[in-house]
Amino acid sequence: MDELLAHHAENIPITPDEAVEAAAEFAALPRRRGAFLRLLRRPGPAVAFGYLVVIALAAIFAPVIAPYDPNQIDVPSRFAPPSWDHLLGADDLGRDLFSRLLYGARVSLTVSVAVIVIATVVALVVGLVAGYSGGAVDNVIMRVADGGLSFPPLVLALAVAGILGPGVVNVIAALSIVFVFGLTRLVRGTALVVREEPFVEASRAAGSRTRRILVHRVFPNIRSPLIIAATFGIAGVLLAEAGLSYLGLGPRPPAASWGNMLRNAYDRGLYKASWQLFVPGLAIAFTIYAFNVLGDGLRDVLGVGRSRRAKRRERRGMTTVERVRTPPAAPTSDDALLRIEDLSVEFVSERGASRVVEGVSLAIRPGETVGLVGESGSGKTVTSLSVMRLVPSPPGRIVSGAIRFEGRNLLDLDFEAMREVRGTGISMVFQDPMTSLDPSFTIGSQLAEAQRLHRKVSRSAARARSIELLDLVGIPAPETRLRQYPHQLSGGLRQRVVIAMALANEPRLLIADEPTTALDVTVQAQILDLLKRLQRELGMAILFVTHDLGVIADLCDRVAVMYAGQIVEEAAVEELFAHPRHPYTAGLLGAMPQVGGAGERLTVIPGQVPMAHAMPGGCRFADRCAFVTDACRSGRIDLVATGAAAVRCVRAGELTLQGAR
Amino acid sequence: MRLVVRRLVAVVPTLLIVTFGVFLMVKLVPGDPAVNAAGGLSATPEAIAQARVDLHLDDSFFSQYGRWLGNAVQGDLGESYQSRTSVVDDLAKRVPVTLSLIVAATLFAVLLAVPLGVLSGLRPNGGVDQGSRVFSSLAIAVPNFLLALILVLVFAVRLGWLPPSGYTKFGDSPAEWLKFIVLPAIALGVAVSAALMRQLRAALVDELDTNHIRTAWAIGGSRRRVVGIHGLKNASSPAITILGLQVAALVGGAVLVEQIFAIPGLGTYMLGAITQADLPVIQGCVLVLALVQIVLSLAVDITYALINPKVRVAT
Repeated sequence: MDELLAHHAENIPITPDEAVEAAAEFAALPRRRGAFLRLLRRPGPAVAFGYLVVIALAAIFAPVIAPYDPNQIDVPSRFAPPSWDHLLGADDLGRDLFSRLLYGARVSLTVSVAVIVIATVVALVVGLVAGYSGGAVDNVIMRVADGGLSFPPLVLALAVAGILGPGVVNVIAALSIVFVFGLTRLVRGTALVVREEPFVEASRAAGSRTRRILVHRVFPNIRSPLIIAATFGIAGVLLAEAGLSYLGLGPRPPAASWGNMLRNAYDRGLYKASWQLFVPGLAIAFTIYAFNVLGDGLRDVLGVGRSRRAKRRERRGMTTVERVRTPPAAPTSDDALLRIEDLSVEFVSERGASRVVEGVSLAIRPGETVGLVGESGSGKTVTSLSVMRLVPSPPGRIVSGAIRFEGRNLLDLDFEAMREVRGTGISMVFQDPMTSLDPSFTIGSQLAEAQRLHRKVSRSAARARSIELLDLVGIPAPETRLRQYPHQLSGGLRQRVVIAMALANEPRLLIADEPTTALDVTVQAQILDLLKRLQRELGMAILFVTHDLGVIADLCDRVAVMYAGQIVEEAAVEELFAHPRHPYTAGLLGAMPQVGGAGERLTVIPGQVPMAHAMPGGCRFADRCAFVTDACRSGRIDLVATGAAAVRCVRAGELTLQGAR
Repeated sequence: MRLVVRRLVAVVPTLLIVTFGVFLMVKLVPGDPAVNAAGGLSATPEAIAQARVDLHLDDSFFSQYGRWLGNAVQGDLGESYQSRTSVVDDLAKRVPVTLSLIVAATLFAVLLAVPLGVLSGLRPNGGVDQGSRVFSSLAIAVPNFLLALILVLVFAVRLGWLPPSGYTKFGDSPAEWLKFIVLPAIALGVAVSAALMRQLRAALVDELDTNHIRTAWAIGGSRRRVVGIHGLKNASSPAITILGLQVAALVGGAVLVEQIFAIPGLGTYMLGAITQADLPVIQGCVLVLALVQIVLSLAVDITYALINPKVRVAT
């Protein structure tokens, strides 16, 4: 108890009075009406809003518009079909249905608005007191709300209305009780979150008065979720009100409500004039639908939660190829394991296509380790995903080139043929080990799956091989690990598991896309050592994708440097580090921290990578380059090969750049 | 197992609040319960005084609650004012009827939502997705009682395929039961199905964009395996949550649907009691319906925990 009190004392308790006053002050603040206009610019919500305005006006002016007294009995018109006399026909007593519908709208809308206003105000006060005071007050209030939410809403409303007796006021009372619990929880939850936020903490520390914090900090954050909940809430009240009136708990007869009109049509007219069901029925359904559409629109416009708009139609698990130019002819003899030629990849969005990889060519020989280096956004990951045909389509699509693996062009394969290559010929290890494994399956079942996808193996053989694989990647106590789920493993261990899965079928090429970036420094080194050892023991080729040149020096035979979707330089590792020929490579080397290089200043490349949809015409690095001349900006600059190296720079011959220090 | 026990313990305070609420509800009724118990307005003052003593109306509020709760736990919820029969006995006859309706509606909802939700999630904006989006907007806007009326009109009155109302116990004749339960189950289940379908679709769309699904493709997973096993298993967790939230709507909706189809369950019992101001019966019905909701939600929670290893297996 002392503990509870101590906790409570830390919070600033607020009284209901303060909450109400603050709410009034907040409501009086001027604010932009932008959200509402944006809402009405959308066709769905605009139509829904228009419909609701019409219904509201019809309800308000019902006495003026209604052609008949809604309760006037006229036996000769009994079950009259719609006509000019009775726009929507007449019921079993000859009462005009159009007039009754108008008066019924008054009941439905009065109840809905009254209930939501009452429930929202009460919820705002109680929820704020709970969320903002915290401690014991919060505990009691939330327990009661939980209890209230344990009653099925309609049952609670029925019981309260049933005990109080029929009548509009009693229905309002019953439904207010039902709806207040959920809204209270919403307000309290939001207040609690806001209270913990740094800016509120800061204002409290700065001695801001409770009321100021409420008005300027807490309410602005609660407003949007509350408006949305209230809009959906009105639809819920409308539904419940119709249900209660249907059961005879609404306004006392003969007064009309949509619910009791429905009941009357069913009880009296089901066999004689069943169309009558649809008069109140459609009114109820349309109005509920309109409030729901409005709520959805508000949620999108106010940006609470995620937009629920659908993504485009997708072709799962395979990048589409739509070539704009013919692929290069296959070389007659090829010593390369993988040869990427003239690969271009586009991402299609509403603003058009942007080319994120442009004419990339790269070869890897069996057993060779090649580094692919570049900043984020350089296209290195897209290039490596393209090899696996794993760039999501849409938005991605391969628009030119060939990717030959052991002589076969992977871009010509269908899903089944590509599936056979994945995991057996080429495997891939991804950047984020925390999310790369399926959380719902054990390590053992995922390792077994990797094997069974490609060959028939018995359960016990798969298990034995899984243990062997975990052993190979240096995971101690493999038998225990097999039974565990990914969330029970650390990031480093998970990455080892991912590597083990990739190695399950002894691929000839392993693509490692920033496999250490998400890990701690010490773990990074362990994973790199592991890859080096595996490469040595298994003799597979590795394509190592990274932004870190330091890693490359340690691991690779050859490096290709990418910038803004293009390869700008390619060379053997020692050559590139000692004598970079492209200013961008030199810049990267200058930005690389050196162990023991104390006193040397790190240099930074100024500027940013150009956006994919606004590429400069000439050299893409020109704007950031210290050696830029006019020639750099005039026309296309090609990758020029000299021996085993290549560079994309018009001044490559004349510049002498500083290598790694 | 420990998890189940933990959840059960957490329900206790909720139960206390719910029972207190039910007790309070009746206490707040205007009018003197002693008059009602003694036989209404024609009761003699002596009978009323006797009823006061019998009902312990002069005891303190909390001791009345304590006595009522103690009796309730021992299976005594009093007698109906009208029929003078034990409320608990009447409830016991009606609970299976309502439960069978809720189960049938849930089955219908799941059987409809799972295939449509999965197909929509696989091909967002494809034909099935467009169709099921229209269906679910309609299903959410049309109240279940209106749908029930339309179903009766079309399938019972016009086509004459199914009876418009009535009920047979499942134990007596499963075939007959099915005939009577189809329309009520559809009326009650459609909205649940719509919510479930949309949730399943959204979860699957999100799920298929995750890194571990990319891993599943990368090791050479077939479409059936990646989508059907990895995608669906992970997408089912949020869908089950939604099912849990829909329980309340199912229990409440059952009251209306029972009334329309004249199914002798808790709903009709309660509505009858409301028209006759039969307080002990109303009290009993509200209590049992709340219990049904609590137990069903609990069942959903536990199912959720069982399929979700993060909850089941502690780190």
